[in-house]
Amino acid sequence: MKNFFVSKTDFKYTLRLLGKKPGFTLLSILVLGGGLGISIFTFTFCYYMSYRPLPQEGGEDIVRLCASEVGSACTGFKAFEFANLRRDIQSLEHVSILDGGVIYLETDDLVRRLDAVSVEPGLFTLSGGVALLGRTLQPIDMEPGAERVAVIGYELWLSLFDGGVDAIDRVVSIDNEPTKIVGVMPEGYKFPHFANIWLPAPTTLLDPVTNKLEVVSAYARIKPGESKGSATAELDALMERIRTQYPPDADLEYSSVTEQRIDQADSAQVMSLPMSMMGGIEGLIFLAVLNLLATLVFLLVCINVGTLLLARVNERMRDISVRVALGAPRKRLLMQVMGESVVISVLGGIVGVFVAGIGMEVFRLFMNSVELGAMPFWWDYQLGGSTLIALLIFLSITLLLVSAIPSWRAINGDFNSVMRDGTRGSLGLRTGRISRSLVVIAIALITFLLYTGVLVGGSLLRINQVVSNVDGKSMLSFNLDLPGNEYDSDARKQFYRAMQTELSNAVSIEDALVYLQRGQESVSSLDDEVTSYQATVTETYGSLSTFDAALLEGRALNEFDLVNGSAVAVISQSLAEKLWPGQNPLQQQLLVQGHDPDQLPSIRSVVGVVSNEPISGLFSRQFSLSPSTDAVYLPFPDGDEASTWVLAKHNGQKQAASSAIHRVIKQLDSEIELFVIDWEDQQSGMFLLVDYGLGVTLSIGLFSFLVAIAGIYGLTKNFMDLHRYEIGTMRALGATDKRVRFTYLRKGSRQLVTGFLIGNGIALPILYLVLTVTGDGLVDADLLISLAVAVIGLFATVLLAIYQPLQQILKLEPSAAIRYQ
Amino acid sequence: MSSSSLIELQGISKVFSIETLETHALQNINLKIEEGEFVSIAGASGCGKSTLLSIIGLLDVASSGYYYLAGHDASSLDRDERARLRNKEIGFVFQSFNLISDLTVYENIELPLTYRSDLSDQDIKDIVMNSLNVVDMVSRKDHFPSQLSGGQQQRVAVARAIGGNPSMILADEPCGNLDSKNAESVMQLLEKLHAEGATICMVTHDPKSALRADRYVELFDGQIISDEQIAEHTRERVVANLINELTRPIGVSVSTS
Repeated sequence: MKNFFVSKTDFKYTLRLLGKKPGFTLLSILVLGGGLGISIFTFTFCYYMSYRPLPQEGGEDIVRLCASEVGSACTGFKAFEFANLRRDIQSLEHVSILDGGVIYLETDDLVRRLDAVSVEPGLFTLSGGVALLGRTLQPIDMEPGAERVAVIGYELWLSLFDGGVDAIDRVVSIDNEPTKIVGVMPEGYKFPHFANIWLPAPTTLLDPVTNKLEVVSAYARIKPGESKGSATAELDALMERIRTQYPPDADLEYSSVTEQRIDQADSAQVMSLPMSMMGGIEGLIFLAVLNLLATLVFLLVCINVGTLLLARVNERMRDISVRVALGAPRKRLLMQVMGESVVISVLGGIVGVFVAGIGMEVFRLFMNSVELGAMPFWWDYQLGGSTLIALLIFLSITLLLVSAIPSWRAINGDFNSVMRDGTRGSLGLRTGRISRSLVVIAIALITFLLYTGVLVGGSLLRINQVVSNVDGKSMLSFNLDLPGNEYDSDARKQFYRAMQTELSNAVSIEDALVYLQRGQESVSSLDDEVTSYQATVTETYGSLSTFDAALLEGRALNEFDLVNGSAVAVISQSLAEKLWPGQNPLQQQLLVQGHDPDQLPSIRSVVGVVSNEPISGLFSRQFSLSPSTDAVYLPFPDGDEASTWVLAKHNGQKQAASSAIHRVIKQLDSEIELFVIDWEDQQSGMFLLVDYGLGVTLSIGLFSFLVAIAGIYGLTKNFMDLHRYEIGTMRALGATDKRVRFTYLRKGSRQLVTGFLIGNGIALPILYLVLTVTGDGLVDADLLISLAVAVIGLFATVLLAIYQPLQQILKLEPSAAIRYQ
Repeated sequence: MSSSSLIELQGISKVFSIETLETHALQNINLKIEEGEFVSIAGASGCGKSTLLSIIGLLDVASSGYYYLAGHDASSLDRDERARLRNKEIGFVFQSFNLISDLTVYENIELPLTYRSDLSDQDIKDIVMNSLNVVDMVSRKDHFPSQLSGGQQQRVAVARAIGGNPSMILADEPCGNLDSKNAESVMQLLEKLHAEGATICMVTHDPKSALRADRYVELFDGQIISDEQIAEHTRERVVANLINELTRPIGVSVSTS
């Protein structure tokens, strides 16, 4: 129908309005663009992280098999158990196993540290990987005595051989063994995550004959007609049968790969590859929280832009009323009022895509630069179909939100009175009510975001401080598995002692430490069992000075403690100050709870205090919101633990130290396989990651705060303008400026307190839940002070946003305020 | 039920309720306006004349009673139907002109025509130019309202009111914001339109303006207290006095006696 929804005149009118106030237009577009950009980036990030199907053909059917319960993080299978289990799997095909780690690849003049995977040939079929040059791995490569071969990735091929076809059949040294390159994979192929090089899986993985410690990651495709649910059910049943048939050995309760206790739940499941990297339900909670925060920022932005548009509609109420009087159909009126919102939303959307695109590019460059093994191949963040869908969804929501209030007013306004009396009277009062409600919502949202921002920022700052302490330290570490059937308790002790001595004697290694981290445990003084603290408990053998923990008081753990299993402990200075403030901690009795709450706590005598080097928080692969320097070091146990970690401090000659480690271990037991991890690389990556996270959090927090304050200022200014006449009348009737100020600040404070209480009502239960699950120990005096400062800042800023426009009105003579229309 | 009159109000009442207080703005109004009439509605401030004009102009609805406009029962129309009827049958002229400041003169006159689906772009253009001719504002068609004097703005408002060839022009204090010269110019324009056949209903509290209509309706406390035809000689006398006043030289008269 001609001109039914919009006319050329309406469109020109909209553009004229926008052009008339370029500052308002630009501010609205930028604020909306920023909010949309954050939302689109977060949505795309979460989508790529968790739900996006793998890019290869049939990628949605590729799954990882996990020895864990549904909802838990994915853990690998013990090779022996999986070898028994895979024979009976019906719902999956191309089942393949692999093991991952770090290798050192040496060419003529260069040594590189690379993420490598040991795989079965079937993995290439499963993942649809076809070699660009040469071939993929074949069954013949797995046979005993076969020549050691490797397939390399595209980037490595370019880097090592400049993309030359003569790369095939070239021999390189991998972990000091000559290895022939037999294939090059195409660009982007990094299956299963970010592999650069694929090696044949060792026989210990392929054909395990005993219930040993090797752990494998298994991958497969779901057969046509089957689903993830049916595959999980089948796998779960098979797992239960295997566990019944082969009960886990008590000696082998630690997994060599995950450094966690092996799941004893007899459960198994299949997960998509992205979900398997998310860490189960906790990962999903993380994503949900991330999305919630982005949504709140977005909501705040929408409220503020909606508010700015509301003020604009207020200014145009007379125009709108004239249109109504001239017989404008309601739909046409709606479209005309929405004109500004549509133009601002579309332009904001373009800015939002731009912001999100920059965010994705920066993140991608960042991830590629920190050598964290780069990103999984499905994290190819870029503007694409999913971004556009996200944009359309967010734009629709934006239009709904930022147009809802102005349009609602346009349709339901009392035009007759507007034409007679202007925007005073009932309309002004209604606008006042809407403004007040929006101020309350904005304050509630910013309160929630403030709490979250302080918590996340505080946590990242703390991690940053801890990480920066370790950054730059020259250390190598490796995981050591001593097979339970070959090493009894005494043999293990002997092995550790010999290894520690040999490593410490190597020219390139200054010190070595064997350790086993037990994780966070509750500790207290024997004199005051009620006041307990969470501390990281680590069992060690060797010198704590390996990681620069200086002995401050007493003595270090020694050979005698190891041999006799003495009930002694060395603790960190921070813990000593908490447990025995102002007292001498030496010879004090320490209660260590242990993992099992039913187990009686062990009583240890404190024999030494060391400096607060954060070995504890960082040796763990488990990420904590609040890495603490509170630590307890115990003598290495009786030798029950088969899997341990070893830390070696080197003199800067990284490669020589790595070679020494391989040599020492091979001398002691030639069957043991090692992956040596470069501590420096790992920690600098972590440092950069935390630094990046801190920067992003602070930027988003600052953006949200500025948006909220600008919005609150706009709302209160609008509110004050609507009350200019009333203020003029009050003063005409004899009210002093002080009285007027008091009246309006009291009104403003009511909104502030209401919004603050609502924000607290939402934020506190959620934060309590998050802190209970992950952030134990995070709430301390520093955090509470930061929070108090932030809240005072919020109150002061909001009151200033009320006071400032009030002052402007009070500068006018009462007669001028009364004449105001 | 339909009516042969252009406007027919039967027992119209309007009550404003604020909490427990009820204000009877109009009480049992019965009024007929025939096609081609020029009716003035006068009365003291607060007597209900603007409320009556709002109801006649379909900007408000009565609390009770019946209203027929050009044969349509307007009492039971919904918002959109009232908007359509208003657009087609009524042209408004307001005291404060109510031109849209961000539209040009041409666009202001064009605006109500764009709400109709039965006019082509060329039709609209012809109508706008014709209306501009009638009020003698063609040369100002690309100006914005802020660039015009009050009298010129009101002439544009008149052009906008007549553009859609409505059954009736409703003028609410059309001279209220104008100086006497511009006011007379606007009144003459309304009289000219009336002479050409337009039906005009004008609300005013100025007796001189009210007496220039054919018919004078007076309201008091929401009720019609008089409704009478104005004699031709009365109107001629009023007009002659006005012209005398307007043509008197401006200056200070000094008595020499």
